[in-house]
Amino acid sequence: MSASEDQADVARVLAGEIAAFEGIVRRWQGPLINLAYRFCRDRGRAEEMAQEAFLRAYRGLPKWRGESAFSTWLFALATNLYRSELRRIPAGAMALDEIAEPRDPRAIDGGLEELDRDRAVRRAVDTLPAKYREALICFYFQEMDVPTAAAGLGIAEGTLKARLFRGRKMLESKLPSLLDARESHPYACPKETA
Amino acid sequence: MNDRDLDRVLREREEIVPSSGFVASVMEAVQQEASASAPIPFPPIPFPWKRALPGLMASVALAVGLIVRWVSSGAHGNASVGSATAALPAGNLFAMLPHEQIAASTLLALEWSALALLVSFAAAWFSMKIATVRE
Repeated sequence: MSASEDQADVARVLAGEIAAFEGIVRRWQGPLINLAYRFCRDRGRAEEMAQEAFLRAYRGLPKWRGESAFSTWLFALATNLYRSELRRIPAGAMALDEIAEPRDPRAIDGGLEELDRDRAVRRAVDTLPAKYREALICFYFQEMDVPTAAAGLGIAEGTLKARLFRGRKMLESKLPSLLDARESHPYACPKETA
Repeated sequence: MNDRDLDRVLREREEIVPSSGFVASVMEAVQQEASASAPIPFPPIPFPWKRALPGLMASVALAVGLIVRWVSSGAHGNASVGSATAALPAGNLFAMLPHEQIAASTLLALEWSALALLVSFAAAWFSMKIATVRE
């Protein structure tokens, strides 16, 4: 995705050519919907939230001064919206998409146990307190890039690292049997030695 | 499951493909937003001629009358002014003042009234001209 394309489209939209916003929507619809899906685990709601994020981006375009990358600005705006939406109406036990999840090839190879385990981990993430869940979602969505995830959440990198550490620790306490063989990890809990 | 497995599970992207109408839906909402936020031109406010006309005509008549009276009083001198002020009703405060003083103060009041009316007309004309140019 080209930053110059974004800049050009933004300039055209600000000049009054509203149709140029379509280019921005086409380029960013996938990432924004997928980020929303990670927050709410509901496809329909994810699209609604992404649409609202695009609308807010359209309204806020004059405020983007190009100091940060357009993608950073857009993700920060979307993340902020998704967080407040989820606090307003929590995702709850919306496991419909979990049930209708695309078939994992591992299930065919007899990896059903692994698939169930993965689902259990994701469900455990959904039950975490909001600030830890959001930290984990943004961190992993941004390919474990701490600065980008912190910018998206509008928090300091140190705060994000602390939340990641705490979030993982809570996950481990929720899934003790699954996490019996821990290895060293930058945000992992230290092994408890007897 | 170790920490790396946990990373893998959390990192794993369950890619959601946007529905086919998503872009169109967003653009429709954006177009609505754009049309809603476009500035609506103010409808021209018609000047209330019907209500203003009697007042304007009365003001013009008064101004003309005052000017005529002022001019005529200037032409005829203090004598005529004195006769005009003599017609004031008895018991009026003016009656307690000397005739010359009454005439002078009346004349001064008339002059100021005429000037005020002229300034008012000029201000109204100027305001209307500005409003017409902006339309």
